Amino acid sequence: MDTHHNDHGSDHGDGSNYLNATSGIWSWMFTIDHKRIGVMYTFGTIGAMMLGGLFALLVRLNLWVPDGVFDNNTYNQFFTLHGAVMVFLFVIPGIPGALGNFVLPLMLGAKDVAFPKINLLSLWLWAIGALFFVAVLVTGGIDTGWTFYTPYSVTNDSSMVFAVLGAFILGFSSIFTGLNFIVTVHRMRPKGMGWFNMPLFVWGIYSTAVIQVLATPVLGITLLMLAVEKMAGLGIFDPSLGGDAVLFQHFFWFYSHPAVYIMILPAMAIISELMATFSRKKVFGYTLVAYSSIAIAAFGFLVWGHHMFTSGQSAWAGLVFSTLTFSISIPSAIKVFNWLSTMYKGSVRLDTPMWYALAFLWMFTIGGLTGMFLGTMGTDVHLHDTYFVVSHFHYVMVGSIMFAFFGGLHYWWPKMFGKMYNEFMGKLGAVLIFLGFNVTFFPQFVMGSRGMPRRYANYLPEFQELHQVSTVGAFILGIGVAVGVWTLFSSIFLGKKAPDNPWGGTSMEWETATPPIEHNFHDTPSVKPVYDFSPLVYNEATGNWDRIAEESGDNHG
Amino acid sequence: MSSSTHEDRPEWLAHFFETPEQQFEAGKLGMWLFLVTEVLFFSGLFCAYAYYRSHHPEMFVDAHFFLSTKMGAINTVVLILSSFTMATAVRNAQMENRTWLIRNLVITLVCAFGFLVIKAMEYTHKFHSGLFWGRSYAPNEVALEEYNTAIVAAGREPLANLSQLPDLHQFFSIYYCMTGLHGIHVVLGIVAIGLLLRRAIRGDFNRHYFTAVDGVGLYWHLVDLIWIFLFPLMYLIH
Amino acid sequence: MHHSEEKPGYDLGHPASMKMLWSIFGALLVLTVLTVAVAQFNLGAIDFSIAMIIATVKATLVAVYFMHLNHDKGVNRLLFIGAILFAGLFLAIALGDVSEYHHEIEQHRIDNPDYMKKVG
Repeated sequence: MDTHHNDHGSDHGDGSNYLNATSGIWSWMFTIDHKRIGVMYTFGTIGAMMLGGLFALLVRLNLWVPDGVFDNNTYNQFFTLHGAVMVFLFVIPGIPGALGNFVLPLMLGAKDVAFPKINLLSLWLWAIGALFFVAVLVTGGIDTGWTFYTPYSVTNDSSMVFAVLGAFILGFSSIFTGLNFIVTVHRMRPKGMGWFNMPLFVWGIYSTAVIQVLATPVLGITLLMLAVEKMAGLGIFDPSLGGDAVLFQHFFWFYSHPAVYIMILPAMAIISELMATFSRKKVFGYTLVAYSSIAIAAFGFLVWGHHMFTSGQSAWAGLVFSTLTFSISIPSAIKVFNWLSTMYKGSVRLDTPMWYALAFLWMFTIGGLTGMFLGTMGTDVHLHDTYFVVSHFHYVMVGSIMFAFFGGLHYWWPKMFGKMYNEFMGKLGAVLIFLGFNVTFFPQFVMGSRGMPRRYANYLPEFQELHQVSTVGAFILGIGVAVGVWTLFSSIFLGKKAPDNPWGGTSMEWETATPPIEHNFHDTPSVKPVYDFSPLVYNEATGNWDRIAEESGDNHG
Repeated sequence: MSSSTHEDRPEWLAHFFETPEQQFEAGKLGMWLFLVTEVLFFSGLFCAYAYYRSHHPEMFVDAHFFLSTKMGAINTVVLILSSFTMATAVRNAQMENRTWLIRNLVITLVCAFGFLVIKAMEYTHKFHSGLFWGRSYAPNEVALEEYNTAIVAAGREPLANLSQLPDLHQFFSIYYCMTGLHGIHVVLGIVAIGLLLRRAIRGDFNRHYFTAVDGVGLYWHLVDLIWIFLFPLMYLIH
Repeated sequence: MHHSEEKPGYDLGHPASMKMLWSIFGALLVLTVLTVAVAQFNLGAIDFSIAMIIATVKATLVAVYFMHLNHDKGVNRLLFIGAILFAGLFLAIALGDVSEYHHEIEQHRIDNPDYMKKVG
């Protein structure tokens, strides 16, 4: 008799779970189950990542020789689509949409998010937005860069309107996801779970959601005005009609700078979970880490002008924004130091997710510190629009966010699909991605500081060696991503059955069956102190971490 | 915790909520968050307005001769009335007074349509005078006559042609963007109130379950609230 | 009223009094008439401020009474105020910067009278 085994979500032996409770394509297309929506986001965003990655490889291929392999217009389209697809279809919706949807309600012991139909609407809007980007591809592409700066974007002939409307729709997808998560966290917490008894993943997703709700509408109106500007010629952003192009940049970056925190905060949220679980120790300075998420969300709104140091913004604003930009490094550094301290005297286990988490620490530090060079107005004038910037934000967006996404996927994949992946292949993927990534982007710091401008299809011959190293790295990175994705997907068919709690996680998603039953839990599990690893004991026979000594009074039935 | 048995669970209570209160508070918080996004959505247009009003005040002064304070004021009153009936609709839903809930919603709908009709009359008049947005702006002699009548009444000399007034195309861009986006919100409100009316007639609401009435009400008040600012910003310029 | 016997979690409705709703409706109409009336006189620079103050009072009445923020949960109030503060932050910084650099645009217009398309 398995008395240790929790039964909050056992399947009563009939093998029924959320994946097989109903079948047929319509049961997926019109599901309101947050877990299925999360799974579809997972597949969709991984697909978008592969597509965006393909464009990245084409960009790197073109840069193999100084004169380029493709013609220059094609190159412009490649880097624009790479940026737009990655930002709008993968990085922004990725972690909240895929992992947030799947995990957040489970962590709160809830049966679903607060508005399941709106959740489905978010997914549909994501898909429709993606179709708009497909429309861009087939109607002649777009070469403005993902930032759609005026006046170029309103005067060129590319199918920019499709891309802008696609991003507009994706913005609403993001808003509705954020709205759902905020209400879920406020109203669906189980009795007894206070704010400071929530897993840090919930804190991170919550802070993200606050930014999504506050910033994304401004992007919405900006893109709408831009589309109308292009189609009807308003004269608000278009200088040839008396408009102001710098005003567009203010509008754009009021959203798009906070948007980088929409991207990084969920990544940090995952790292907090991984650090705690794989160090078997409560996150050091839990309260500060929680507050630092909110602080990042708040400060993130005060720094947008550091994208505009060289684009006509006044010296007054440049000074203010440069100063404020430094403040954001404080909460970010708090997190990094606290993660390090979490490992200290912890019982660190190096499973695949932890490999990604450790790589994250290394690369986020590089990405964050190089951000300080760029936030300093004086050095930015030199480094602006060079490969230094490209490398900096790739260290954050790929080196940090994609690594956290992969770490999170490897962590929760067994819960999602009930299968363990091949541990060796998982680690191989992590190593290849790590190597490939650094070989790709480290040389770009060097090139950038020597003056190689970004977005150019051609370059001076003295940069060729570094460009070629970078291109080789990009292909290693591509292979690594393919290995990682193959490892995960093949496990669905080849993997052995996963136990309920393979890593010894303490949050509630590990207390239901693997995969979870359709309504998550039969009864809401009792709330335990957050990150208390003491009741979990590894069971050699089953590979499960069993929870011992459930409190009396928690007998269901 | 004791989960409700199936029998005493009202059918309007979604399976993932414990109590009607939780469902109601979730719905209301969600609605307020949506209103937050609406405020920030409109803030972009208010920013554009403030930009051009502060740096090119003359274009607003010139343009106000083309806007009818009377029409704007009537529409303000119409929207305030609809807001009032919407507020009473929420009260009647809470009191389970179905007859008056339906009547309030009908009046609100009529006001919303009335608002759009008046707005359409204003737009038609402007199109007729060639007062379009941005690069389509092409005022004709109707516009010139209207302008001259207005400024002569204000004790100034009439103009020979309107090209002497710079940048008016930008004013009309802002005018159409702001009132147009507001108008779209009125249309969406009509759809929402219409659906609500159908449910009210069906008798869906009771004193434990009126979240939809409350939510649509909040939305409708925000639409009114934005107009409360648009009215002086557009129609009461000097 | 009829709520005393409710089960926990079922007591939701707190209907606003008709007297209050009518008075707010009346106040909004009076303020509308007032703002139109004031606009008939040319008061110079304070004209705009008066119109905005009246609009803000009207908006506050709608938010507090029609949207019943007066007895709503703190978080909902905080959200609405927060939204306005954030919109204010956006406008203040963007417009602050514009007023710093706008003279360059004006200068450009003077120096290059033909750079704009002819409209109208």
